[in-house]
This record gives sequence, C-alpha cells and structure tokens, in this order.
Amino acid sequence: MNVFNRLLIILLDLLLLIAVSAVLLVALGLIRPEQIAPTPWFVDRLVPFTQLDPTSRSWAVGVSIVVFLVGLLLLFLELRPGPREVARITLKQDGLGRVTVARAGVRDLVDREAGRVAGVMEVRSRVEEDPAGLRILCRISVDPTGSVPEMTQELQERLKAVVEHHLGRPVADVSVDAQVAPLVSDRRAGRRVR
Amino acid sequence: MDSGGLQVNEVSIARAIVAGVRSVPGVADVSPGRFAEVATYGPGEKVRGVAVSQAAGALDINVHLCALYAHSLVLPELADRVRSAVRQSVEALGVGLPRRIDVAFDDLRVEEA
Repeated sequence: MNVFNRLLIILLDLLLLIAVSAVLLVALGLIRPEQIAPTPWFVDRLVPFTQLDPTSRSWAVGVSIVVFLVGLLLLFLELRPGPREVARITLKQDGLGRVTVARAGVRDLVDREAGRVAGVMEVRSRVEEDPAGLRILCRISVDPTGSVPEMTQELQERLKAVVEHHLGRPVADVSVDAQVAPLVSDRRAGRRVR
Repeated sequence: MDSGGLQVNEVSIARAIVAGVRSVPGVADVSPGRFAEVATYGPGEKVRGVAVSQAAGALDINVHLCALYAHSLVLPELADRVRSAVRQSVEALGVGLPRRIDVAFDDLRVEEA
C-alpha cells in the first residue's frame, strides 16, 4: 500500500473513531449533542441517539463499542512500521559461529553482474531470504532495440549462477521486471550501468 | 587476559588477528562495520574491524571484512581461511583457542584495473 492510501485510511479511520465515540457518549447520556458536535448537521445526526428505548440503546452502545475497537485495531495496523529488512544474510552457521554477508553487498554484486548483460541500461535489485533459498528481484531498464526475453533469460541464468557460486547458497528464484523507460521514478534510483 | 602467566590484553589479541586476517588471500581489508562500529577498545586505543570479548575465560571473536571480488571468490571458503588465520594468530599469542569466531563480510571490493 502506498503512502497516500495509508494516509487516506488513517484519516477515514480517525473520522470513524470520532463519530463512533460521539455516538457512544451521547447514547450513554454522558454528554449532550450540542456539547460535542461542531456543526448543526452533526447535532441533528446525534439527537436520535438521545431518544432511544432501553433495548435500542443497548444495541447502539454494543455496536459502537465493537466499531470503536475495530477502528482502533485498524489504526494500530496502519501506524505500525513495516517489517524491517534484516541487514545480513547468513551463509553458514556452525559450532564455531556464524558467517554472514551484508545484504547491501549482495545487492551490489547482483547489480554489477546484471550490468554486464548486454542491453541492460539500469538495475535496481533486491535480495530476500526464503526457506527454499535466496530470492532475487531485479528491476531493469533495457535497450529497446534488444530482445527482452533473451535478455531476461540470460540475466536470470547469470545471476543465479554467480550468486550461488560466490555465496554458496541456493538461489530459489530470480524475478526480472524489465522496462524500456529509465528507473527514475523509483524511490531508490537504479544504478546506471551503461 | 591471563593464560599460564602470560598477560595479553584484548587489544593486543585484536591487533594480531587483524594482521593475520589481512594476510589471507582474497581479503581486501578488515572493515570497521557497515551499520555500527566494530572494534576492540582498550585504554586510549581501539582496533577497528575485530571485536574481541572474553566471557567465562573463553574468547569470542567477531571479524568484519571486505572481500576482494574475483571470479574465484567463494565466501564460505574464504571465511574458513579467515577463521584458520584467526586461530593461528590467537594460538601464537599463547592465549588458547577461541570459542567462537563470527565472520561478517561487509563488502565485496572490486580492484579496478
């Protein structure tokens, strides 16, 4: 989800929390609509909750509490930071300790090797760990005069071979996303290799 | 650290390890750490790239380094050679064998022709 969508959800969720809190307070008789509502329109929406019979009031309070809790949960989920990328990839772990490599170093290796494939103009890669092995996700900007299928196949074979050779860990998957346009619109600009 | 009457502090051990690791073919240099400084601290001095710590009389060593990028480079094999060099350096000081040797590659350095 991009930042705009996330902000929109947070804003709508806050509005929902304010509205449902107002309904709850009014339905419980803790506050009068005129004290809480900023506009006459909102007062008109709240007044009916002051005139509920006991059964309807119980339902209104119950539903408001549930909606309030769901709104709080949604707000918590939207505000918490995303999962942080582990900065290191473990190559080996034995009785003597651990052998690791910086993920950024592997990314540099992938970018460098991808840049050696003819027709690849720019590269932006990501390396992820999976139980089945490493997963390489590579976004490339290509020379439009070349054959993209041939280029991507060569890139996949080359990256798999190089990473498995140097790191000694299996590569489960190499995904290539090729485009003719430069990778300038990306958050992290791609590495220009041509 | 006291071993059989021999006094060797952690900074001296770290210095010996750095010298040993630098002599390993395929190692460009020790690295001060990519995300946080890795060093062994002594009074008025520090040795970057190697963290030596002593717990329950055993040595734990954490080596950070840059590898030289070459076609023949295989990082797990280079790590084995580095561990071997670390063991030799520590043994040469007469302070016993390390309990743990972690090897962290911070970068792959390309030698420009």
